[in-house]
Amino acid sequence: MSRILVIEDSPAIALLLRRRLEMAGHAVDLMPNGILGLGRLDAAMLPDLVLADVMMPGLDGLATLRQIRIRHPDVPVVLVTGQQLTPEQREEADAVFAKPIEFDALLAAIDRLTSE
Amino acid sequence: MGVTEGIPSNDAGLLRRSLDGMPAGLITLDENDVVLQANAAAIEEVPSLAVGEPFRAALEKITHVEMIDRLMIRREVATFPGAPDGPEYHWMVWGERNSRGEIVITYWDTDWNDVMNERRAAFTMASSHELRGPLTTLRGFSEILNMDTSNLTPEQAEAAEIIELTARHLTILVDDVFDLSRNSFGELRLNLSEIDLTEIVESAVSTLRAGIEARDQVLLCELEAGLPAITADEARATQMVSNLINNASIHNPAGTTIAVKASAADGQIAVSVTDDGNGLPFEDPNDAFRSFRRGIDATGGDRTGSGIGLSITKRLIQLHRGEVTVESSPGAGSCFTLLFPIDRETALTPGEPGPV
Repeated sequence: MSRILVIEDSPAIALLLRRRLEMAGHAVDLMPNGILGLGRLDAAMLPDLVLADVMMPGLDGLATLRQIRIRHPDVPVVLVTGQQLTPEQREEADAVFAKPIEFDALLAAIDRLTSE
Repeated sequence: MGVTEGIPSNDAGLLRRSLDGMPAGLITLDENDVVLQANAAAIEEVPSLAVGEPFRAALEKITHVEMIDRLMIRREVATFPGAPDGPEYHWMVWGERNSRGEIVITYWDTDWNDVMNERRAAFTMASSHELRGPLTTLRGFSEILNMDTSNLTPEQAEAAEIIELTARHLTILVDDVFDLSRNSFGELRLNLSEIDLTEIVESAVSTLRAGIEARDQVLLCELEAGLPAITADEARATQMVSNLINNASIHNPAGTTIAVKASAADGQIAVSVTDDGNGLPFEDPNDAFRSFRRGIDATGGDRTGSGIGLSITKRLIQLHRGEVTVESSPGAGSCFTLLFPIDRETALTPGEPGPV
């Protein structure tokens, strides 16, 4: 079981992520945008992993990821995206998953990243 | 009819002023390619152009013969300036000659083209992203529904399964439309590395096996041992092989046997997908590679697909400097074969002049 912070602006996709992650035994904290996500990281116990959408209003997933790298370099960050990322952008994340999400692969990546 | 009341449709003066107000050039030629008319932009920015003079001779003063042939004979968009040291324009012949043999040539500023291309790219990206959001939800929740159908009636379980399969299919379509858009603007690129086709075919087969067996079809896989590694795009190779296997399943009834084979011969690795199903509903099986071309469904059965997948596959294998072939006869099934060159460096793309 891992504690996962999910940052996703779409309520339906956020709920889907919560359900699938909880079904796999993880504890999920949901935040609707990057600013609130970063605030959560500063205020609460650090999660084992952050799962963030890329395209979000305000602070997008990549900007959020860069802030997390500065403030909490030990927390792995996985991006989910509906758009194409450049190879350089993909490099920045611990893993990138395209939408629609292949959950078997996502759950395997979460297990791998949280056991390291 | 009276419907044109208030619209001075025969006002040649207004039409002329409108054409002269255009920032793009507009030139009309007669049946001998003599300039009949040119709007103000064309007269101003292409000094060699004169009404009553041959068009080719005017162009020969500003660009080379290959470019003129490209425009006038190959009917492609040609790019050259209107005057020596002037700004470049994209030139194009519009449509076909009319009954009097006249034809219209236009040119437009290359900057507009960049603007249009940027807008198109932004639109494609945005629509792809917009579609993927709802698709993620649809597919994700239908997967949850299908994890445990024990409390559903058989009809409800069937509905849940069809929703998930359709969501998966829609995902492929969104990817294909995106690829097709990129291809039409020459943006489809390969991410090349040394790959093992055996692994790729095995993984495509294992991913698709459950869905195919659920349709009561048989999937066989027979791969020659020790196939050499090739230089290819791993994700695209998977996409092509999956596309052929998926098509063989989707377009054929229950009971169909689908055989996937891979072997090396004549400097190529052939990956073939053979089925003993309906055969292609085209007189010329090669029509299957044309976008949005779907046959008439003889069985009235499950015809999903837009025909985009195969045209993408054809383009992708050409980018690999290989080719895809098809054999098919009605009622006796079809066989699609992907031919990958083992040495990509020395291979030329069939039907194309060579590496660009």
